Amino acid sequence: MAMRGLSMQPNLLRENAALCLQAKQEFAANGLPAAKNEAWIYTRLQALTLNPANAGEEAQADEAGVLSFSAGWLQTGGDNLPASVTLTEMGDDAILGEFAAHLPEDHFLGSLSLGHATGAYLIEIAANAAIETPLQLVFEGGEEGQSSHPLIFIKCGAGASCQLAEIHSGTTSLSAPVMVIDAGAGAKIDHVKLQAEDSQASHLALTVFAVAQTADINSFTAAIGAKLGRHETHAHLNGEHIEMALSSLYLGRAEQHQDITTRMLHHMPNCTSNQVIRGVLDDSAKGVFQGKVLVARDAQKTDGQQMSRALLLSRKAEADAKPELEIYADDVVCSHGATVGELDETHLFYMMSRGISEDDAKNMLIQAFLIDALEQVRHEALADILSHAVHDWMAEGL
Amino acid sequence: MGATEETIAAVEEATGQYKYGFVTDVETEKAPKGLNEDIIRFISAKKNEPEWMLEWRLKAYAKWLTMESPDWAKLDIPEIDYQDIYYYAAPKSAEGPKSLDEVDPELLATYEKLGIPLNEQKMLAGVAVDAVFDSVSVATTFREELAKSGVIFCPISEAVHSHPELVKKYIGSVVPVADNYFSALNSAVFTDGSFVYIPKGVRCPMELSTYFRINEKNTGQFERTLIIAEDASYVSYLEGCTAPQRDENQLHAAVVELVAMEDAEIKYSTVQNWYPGDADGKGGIYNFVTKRGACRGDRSKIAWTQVETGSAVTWKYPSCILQGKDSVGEFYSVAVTNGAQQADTGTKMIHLGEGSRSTIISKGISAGKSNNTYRGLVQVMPKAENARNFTQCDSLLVGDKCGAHTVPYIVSRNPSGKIEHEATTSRISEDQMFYCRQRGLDEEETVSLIVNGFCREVMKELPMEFAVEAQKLIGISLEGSVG
Repeated sequence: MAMRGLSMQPNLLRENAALCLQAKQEFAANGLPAAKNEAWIYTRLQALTLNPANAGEEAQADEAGVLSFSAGWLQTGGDNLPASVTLTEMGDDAILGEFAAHLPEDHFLGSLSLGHATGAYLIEIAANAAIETPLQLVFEGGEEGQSSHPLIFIKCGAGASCQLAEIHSGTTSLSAPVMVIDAGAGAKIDHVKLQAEDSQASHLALTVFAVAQTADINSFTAAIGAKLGRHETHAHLNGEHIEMALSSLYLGRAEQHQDITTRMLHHMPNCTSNQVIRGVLDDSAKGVFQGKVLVARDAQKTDGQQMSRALLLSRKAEADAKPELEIYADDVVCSHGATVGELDETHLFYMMSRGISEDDAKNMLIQAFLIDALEQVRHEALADILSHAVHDWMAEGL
Repeated sequence: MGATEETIAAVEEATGQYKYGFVTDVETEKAPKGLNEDIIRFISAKKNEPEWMLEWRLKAYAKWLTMESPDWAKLDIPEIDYQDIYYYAAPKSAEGPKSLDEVDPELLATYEKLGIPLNEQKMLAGVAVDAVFDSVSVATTFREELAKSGVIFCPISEAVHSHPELVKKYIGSVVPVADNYFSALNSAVFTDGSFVYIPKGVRCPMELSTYFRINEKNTGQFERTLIIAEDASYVSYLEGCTAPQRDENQLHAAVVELVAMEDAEIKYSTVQNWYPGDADGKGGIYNFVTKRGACRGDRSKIAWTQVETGSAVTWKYPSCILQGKDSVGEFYSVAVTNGAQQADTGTKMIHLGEGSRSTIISKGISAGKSNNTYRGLVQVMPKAENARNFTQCDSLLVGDKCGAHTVPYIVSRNPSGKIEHEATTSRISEDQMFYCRQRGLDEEETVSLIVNGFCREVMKELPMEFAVEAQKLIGISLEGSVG
């Protein structure tokens, strides 16, 4: 049975919790990332809309497993969750402290949303539970001029398995979710995130994975919406024999700016990580991929792979990449690769010479390029969510 | 001893015992320690420089005062006291010697210890050597033969007088004074360096070479090298470095500018083996170098090849600005770090011209407690139709206390550009060791074979004269350490 007790008139964390006040001060003191800040060299932040929304009306519970958020506040009580899933509000400094301890120190995105928090929720999955229905976190609603800063803490108990889908399609000017996914020993998590925010919005997300030994994580992000999108993921592999897949695709049109930043942090030996990144950029869109793989001194026998490819469809599109290896252990197999280019002319020619129109041929090639990435998603229902969105994006371009 | 330990031991020798640690006692003429306008005036006056040169220096100094030392590299550098450095030291000599006979015999003895047979080189190697001893070029050979083909090869301090129009036109045109902290410093206080001018259509009849030495205690070395290759000309320039052992850190901030016009080709090769400091990183050279070439003309080509084994800190990114249509930039690098050495090195390839191409091959070998970083930028600008880049960065880790890092930056603003980057990190595997041992090679030979094989793609780009020295260097780093 899921625990209730969510007050629908929550106390405002950002005005009461010491941690939030501290983060707000930190944020005010540091301001936006400076032009010389290495982590932000390709993504310049101008002014941000900072006007955290307040909780709205309670709504009807959705279908099973769906949690609806409006402008960063949970709207439903969580009655529709499976029995082994518990939903509570993070209302005190103790649990908030545990959440914040997972965030990188002095991090812009961390202090931004801790300091301006909207709703903050803890979702716990009991040890050894096998959740069959995907949990869907749907973030929508809000108004222009508002910002949403949901803080989500997911604790997946040892040996549990679950599927998580995050869908961001809000209408606030800024959506800045911070999510911590704590995977217990042997946990198996399938996670997808679809970023399909309003075309004028900014989406600045920080996701942290804290992974214990023998856990198996398959995570995928598709960044499609927003005018300015940054999806930053830090994955801490804190135990041995972890399998971690952290892949993504980003699509950009018009003036869109999509930034995918990952830090794969191998702290312990015998772990495997794999990242496949694909980007397609049209019009004047700009795509950024920054991916660091760190292998600590003790993380012998690490296998860390990363491959990013960007496809430019227009003369004005731009792709920037900064894959990074930082390696302190000697018995490792690590590699990264990055390519940027346009559609292969010989491929196009081959298809057109067989009677396929140029547009169709291009579309097929783009699709094939993206399917390469989408195939990384292991769970079928989750994959469907993303492939529909990608399909719609393709269709819009015709 | 297991293979791994032996490998570690082998490479610990790499730079641990510095063969060239000795000091030559030559009376030197020094400016007082520290840096201010007066010192710059002193340096300029010492060199009888024209007014425009002094003004240029003073402007650079004013600029430098407003700048900050860069901190983005993965280097841990103790704060440098720029007022505790001698900015000028010249071997005492009333007038420049005209032949080797006039050169201070002690200097010649130093070169002999280094294994640079100046005299023999004249006959054997066909290499003209413009030897920079500390700050003043004291021996210049083969000038006459070069002059016959119209090639100018002289100390830059001399070129300021003999070819002011060329120096004025090109100095600072590739590396602007305010490009970075160290280029501004160099522009203010540079003491000497080489000047090379290859006229139209001339293929330089010999490999040009200089040996830079840092000799006088506490003197920073601030070379300034300028190479201009006019249309359809070719030059290969070799730079080799060794330095005496020191306790205090020595600062080195060189600027090298290359200009290649239409169809011209410049090949610039470096072997850098300065004192790396002791096992804890005490002493050793701080090497902050700005090297950049401009491929100004269509079909021009600039190739940088470097073998970096020395220095406590290396901060060096030889770059190419590919302006000309179908211009070509190449960068081949082997960087070996050991002990507490730190290297942050790589290249920048800026594609501006249509059809420009670049190749980057970087091999990093880290041992001991060292950190070895490749940092490179490939940028394709909007007008660079059909630009191509291929980058390969491989790192080899020897031992479990070192670090190997790869930080490529890729910026593509033209869809027709194709950029490919690959990086791998590995170590000498037990399998490789076993395979070679089984065939009768001892462990030392095996490590040497594997490391040389790992670097082969770069080594084969070196001119023959250098390839021998470079292989020897890597050989030295491996010898006597196994068993």
